[in-house]
Amino acid sequence: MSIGLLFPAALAALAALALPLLIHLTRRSERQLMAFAALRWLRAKERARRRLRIDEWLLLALRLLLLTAVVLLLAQPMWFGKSSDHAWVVVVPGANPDAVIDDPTLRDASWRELDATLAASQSLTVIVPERLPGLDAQRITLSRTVDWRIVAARPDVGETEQVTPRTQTVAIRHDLAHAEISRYFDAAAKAWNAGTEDHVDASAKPSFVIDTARTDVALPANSDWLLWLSSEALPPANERWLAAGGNVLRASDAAAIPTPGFQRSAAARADY
Amino acid sequence: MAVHVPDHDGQADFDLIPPVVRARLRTLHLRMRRPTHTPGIGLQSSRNQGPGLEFAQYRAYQPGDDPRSVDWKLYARSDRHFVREAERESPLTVWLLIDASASMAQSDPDNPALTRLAAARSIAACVLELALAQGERFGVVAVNDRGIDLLPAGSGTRQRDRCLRQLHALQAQGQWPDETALQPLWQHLGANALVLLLSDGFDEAGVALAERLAAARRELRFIQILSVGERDFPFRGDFRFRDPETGDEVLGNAEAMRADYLARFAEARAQLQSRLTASGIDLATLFLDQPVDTPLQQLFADRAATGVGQR
Repeated sequence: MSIGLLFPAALAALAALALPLLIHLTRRSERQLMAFAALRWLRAKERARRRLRIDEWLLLALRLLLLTAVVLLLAQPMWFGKSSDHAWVVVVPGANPDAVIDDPTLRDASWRELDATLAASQSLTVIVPERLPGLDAQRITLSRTVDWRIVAARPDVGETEQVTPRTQTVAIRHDLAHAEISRYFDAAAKAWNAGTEDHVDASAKPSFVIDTARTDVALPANSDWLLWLSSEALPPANERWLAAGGNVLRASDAAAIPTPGFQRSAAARADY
Repeated sequence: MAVHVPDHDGQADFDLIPPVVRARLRTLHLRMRRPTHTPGIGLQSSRNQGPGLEFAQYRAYQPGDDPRSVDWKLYARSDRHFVREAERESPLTVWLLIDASASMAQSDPDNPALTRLAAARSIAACVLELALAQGERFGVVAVNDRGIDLLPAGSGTRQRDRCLRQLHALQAQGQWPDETALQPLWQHLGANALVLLLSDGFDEAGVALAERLAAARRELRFIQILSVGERDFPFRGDFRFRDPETGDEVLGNAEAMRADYLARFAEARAQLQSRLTASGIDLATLFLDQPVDTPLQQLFADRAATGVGQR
């Protein structure tokens, strides 16, 4: 279990800690005014060695702590490996398997690692294509019963997309209750982007354009994917877009289709 | 030497004189070092001839003697002119000369209400009571550069109350006035008056005025009022010291300045003492943490050896 930050750049705001420190030091050097009639016999004299003295430690510490807390909140901390009873769904990418099958032992080990990190109470659902290459010539044995779901692989995957990596537009639409989760999807989508860029061409366009917004915002014109994170039904405009060949992934707790994880919609593909 | 001490109620100056101090006032008597020669009846010893209260001696008539002072009954018996001499008690005029410059507003952080001026008011009230009890004439002058606030000398309880009202109205502001503004003083403060100067003694012009008054046969008593801060300099930390009169400022660390200040201030006080002694002026110092009658005890306490007045 370790702590992580979703937005580490916010740590730059720690520079603001200098502010209360400065205020503290300058305020101390402010001199108290004192009426003194016998001024004639007074000669200005400073302390021989002006030490940098801080008087009100507690106050300063409180101010600094408060600022640090705000900065950490801005950085969006999260616990990795936090034990929870959330069900896990692993989608094995069928589209581009050769990226991971170079080292079969590693591939196998990653399954075991996943198994070890999960709590015993958590269920694991794995959605795999019909063919799962790169395994060590035997069935994966894990400590838990895995709900394997085999879906049909997209026939044209692998060849066509590999050759012409087209920029895909992913629209994420969430309501208020799913705003938290949408950030994770956002981050995941960005991670896909980074991965494909490495493989294809550093100078190429990003493979995915991610558009995150609230449910009431219209979809971009050329959307390929819609991630619907809301308990409401799809608005009519989105229904029409779906009928015209769009892909929709919707949250399980929202849907009328009670399946763990995410359910493919009528036209959804199992690539991701 | 009948001294009538009126049983005054003292309501008006109740807050100026603490009861303890008022009790101690009985042992004090305003007096001068040298005999006076002013007409009237008072407590002060005098060699004036004339209708005195206590017979002293007869002496032979000399040309120029007032015919009224010749004892005609004795002339009828002895056929010679004798002049009756009396030890007469002539009244004293007590002047309270109060410095009302801004430096008199100085007080200590521990007790901001007790300013130098407040202490001066209390001392003045004590002196007024003493003068009233002795049947002397008294007046009050307050000076600063806004003007001279002078209440002509008089006697009696009404005069005391007038003086107290003026004391209450006093405000410490401005600086010591220049010499020309002080001209009215010389008209009112007659020769042989007992002048009590209540001041901090920080104004050179104030000390100079005392010296000139003393040189012109006024009997001066200098009551210097100093704050505890000026005596001990107990401040700690960084300060901006500001002179209330000039607005000058001195910045620095109090602990670092302390030793130097104390040495210089002690030297200044010694200098003032020697200057005043040279002019025949008695100096008494009141620090604001002392009872207000401390300087009066120094100046006017009954001493068994001297008693009231000098024969």
